[in-house]
Amino acid sequence: MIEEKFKSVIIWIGCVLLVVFCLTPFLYMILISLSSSPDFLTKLGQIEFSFKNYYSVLSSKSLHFIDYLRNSLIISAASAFFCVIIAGLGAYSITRLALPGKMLILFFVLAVSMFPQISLVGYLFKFMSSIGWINTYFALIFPYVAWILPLSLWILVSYFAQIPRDLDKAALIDGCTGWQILRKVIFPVAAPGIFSVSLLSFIFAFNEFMFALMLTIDYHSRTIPVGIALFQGLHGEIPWGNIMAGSAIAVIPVVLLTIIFQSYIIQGLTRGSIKG
Amino acid sequence: MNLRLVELTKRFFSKHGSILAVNDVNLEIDSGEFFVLLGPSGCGKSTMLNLIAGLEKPTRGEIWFDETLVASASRRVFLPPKERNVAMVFQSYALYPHLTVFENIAFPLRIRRTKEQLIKESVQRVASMLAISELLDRKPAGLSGGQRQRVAIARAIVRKPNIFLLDEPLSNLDAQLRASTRGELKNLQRNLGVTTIYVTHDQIEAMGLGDRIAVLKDGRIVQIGTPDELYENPVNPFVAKFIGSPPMNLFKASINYDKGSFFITVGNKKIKLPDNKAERIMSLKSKDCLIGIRPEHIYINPSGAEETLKGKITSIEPLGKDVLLHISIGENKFTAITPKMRFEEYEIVNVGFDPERIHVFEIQD
Repeated sequence: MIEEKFKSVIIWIGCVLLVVFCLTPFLYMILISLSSSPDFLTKLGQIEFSFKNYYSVLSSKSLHFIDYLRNSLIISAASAFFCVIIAGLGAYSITRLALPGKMLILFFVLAVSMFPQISLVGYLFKFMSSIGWINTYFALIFPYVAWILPLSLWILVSYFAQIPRDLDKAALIDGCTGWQILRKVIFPVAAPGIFSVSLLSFIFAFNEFMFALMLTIDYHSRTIPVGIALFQGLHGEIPWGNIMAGSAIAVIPVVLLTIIFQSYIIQGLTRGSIKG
Repeated sequence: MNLRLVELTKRFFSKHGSILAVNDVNLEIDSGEFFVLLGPSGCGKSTMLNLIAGLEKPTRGEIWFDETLVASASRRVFLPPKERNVAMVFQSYALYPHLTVFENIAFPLRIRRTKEQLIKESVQRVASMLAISELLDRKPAGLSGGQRQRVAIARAIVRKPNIFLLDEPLSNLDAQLRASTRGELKNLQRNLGVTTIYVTHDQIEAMGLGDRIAVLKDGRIVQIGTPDELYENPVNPFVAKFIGSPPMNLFKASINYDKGSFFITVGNKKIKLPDNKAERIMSLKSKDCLIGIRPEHIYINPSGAEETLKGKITSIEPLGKDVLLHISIGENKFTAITPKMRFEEYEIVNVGFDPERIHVFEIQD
């Protein structure tokens, strides 16, 4: 009994420490964004609350914050969409077709994903400028899809591999074509996996900084992380209030998505298809 | 629909060589027949089902549905399952977990773009036939094993298939449910009149359900016949052991000829073999053979005048009405089923064989 209590106390302390450790910078960001005279290392007691930073970020045309936000949302959504489609097809063929050397393909994909981003960005810049895609959405969507694909493929392969083959057979006998099996059976049954991959891809693309910095020029295609980082260049001083308010707003879509999708990302959806 | 398999062969290739799963099978199944494929695991019975369903391509041979060639390796004909209109029930049921029971049953109709009104009617018809009408809104996860099984059967029969394939559909049910479902399944098949192929490793299911049974071993058909034929006249010790529970007693003996009759020696007694076995005995390659006798054809302390042997009871298993005795006679061990009486372990009893029921087999490696 005492041991049980002790255990739960330890677990509680651990959790609280972890949460405090992770959330303190976030809370600090929110606090500063709400301060009327923001500075990086303001003493907490001296903060006067106001929404003026939010107002200025959202209303000031020269900051282009709304443009950045729109670009980010479009680019991230498109990347996530293509990523799921391509990874889904790939995972289906790897788990269901008699491909010779499919493990080799899987490991090759993993190996490719190990390249550091910085080693690719120089070539990528030359390539994108030579085909005239610099400062377009495509310049970011393509490398994002390629960059996120290996992880997505691995996640979906593990999900698809868990789906019993009897379901494929049943669908085949019920008259499905290969496409219909994928669309009507595999994808819905692997929904938790599909949602996790979409969410992960979205967050990866939403947070990415280096490609976005190198391959965009202005607000026509620049994404939020780069946009916020370059706030300072516009004014000569570091506008902490705007930076913090911008960051706080930028967090909203990701948090919302996570809250919406987390109820879908539950394991055990396959329960009941196969003997209990 | 009549089904014909001609020299059907399936070989699987893997890194470690190849496996002959189905080996030169010739078989004709009549329209409306309930046909059972019976064999131990790994005998190729499920592969045969998959070949008929169109889930596997044959390595050699042909499959005919009536006058339609549905698969032929040499003529490069292969109709996908969709065009064969077969339905299958899996051991694992393979229900679609994301769909309700209604949608599970409707699935094959939706794929065929059936009209909504007709889908509704068909689903409700089979659901009431299988007594699952009140489950239509549930998801498979919320059903018991027996209910899932019914949904799987409903999904299979909803589109009026040419051939109904069942791959060990009862083996995940508990014993009681299995027995009752067996009866229902047989009635259902009679009412629908669909040619049915049923795969099982359980001889009780096979005997209870099948109009005819094919016993398979290592990808080959060992014997085809009605349940009675297999029980009365097994062609070899494998079938003899596989059909009947508890299995037939088999022991080695040598046959002697004396005064116009054949005899075997068990213990130190001579037992005369029936005259109608003479032809069989003459065809044996050597006089050493395997003798088979079913437990239910061994009599303990018989009142008649026939020859008896002395045997020692080594253990006793009560079966309710009857009792199963393990008896040793000399070096041979037998099981016998006999009406319940008071027996003691290590008791010496008189054992009589029904000579008409003795089977003679060639010794196999």
